[in-house]
Amino acid sequence: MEKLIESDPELARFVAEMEQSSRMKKTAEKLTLECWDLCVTNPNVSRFDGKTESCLVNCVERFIDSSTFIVKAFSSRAQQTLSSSSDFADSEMIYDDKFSMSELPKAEPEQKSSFKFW
Amino acid sequence: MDYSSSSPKGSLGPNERAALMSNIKQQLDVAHAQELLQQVSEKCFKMCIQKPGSSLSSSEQKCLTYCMDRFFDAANIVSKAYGQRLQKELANAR
Repeated sequence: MEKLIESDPELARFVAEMEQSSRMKKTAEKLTLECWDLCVTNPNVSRFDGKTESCLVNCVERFIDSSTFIVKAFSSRAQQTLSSSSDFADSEMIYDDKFSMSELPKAEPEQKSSFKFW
Repeated sequence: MDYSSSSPKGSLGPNERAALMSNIKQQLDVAHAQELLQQVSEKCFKMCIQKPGSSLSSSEQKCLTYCMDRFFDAANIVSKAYGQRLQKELANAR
């Protein structure tokens, strides 16, 4: 399979896309679980009330804010320490991971079925 | 374009590639659906079955049904919010 991907750019692109979309789905799943616990007190209803809905949206927004905040705080801490040692060389990687968001292909949120989020 | 003639031995023709791709995609979709189902079961069991009786009562069944629908609602709300946020970050980064 590795060899196949190496010699086939179209397949390689496809695999990269699939990996990315899997990663995003994973994150959305994780967020759903976290935010469900935080926001849904009673699922035995025919419809969410507005409060629950906005809680879910806020939960996502604040989660991303938090992780961005942590990354920034951590990297500025790392910058300070960097001059004295190279222990924080890894922080560069974390930073890259975070901001690889900017390289995402245009994700079109599709909503045709409950099982497909992207 | 015919890939099979121009590409080295052992690589895929266009039809093979398309078949492989749709196979991979399908497997990922199945895995994703299974994951989701398992999560719904876990959450809704916790919320609907407080005192397990000798059988699933009709009120428990009703709760599970509602809970499942609400979980999918929540999943959709969350992924929509997440997607929109990603788009926003993306636009800001440019």
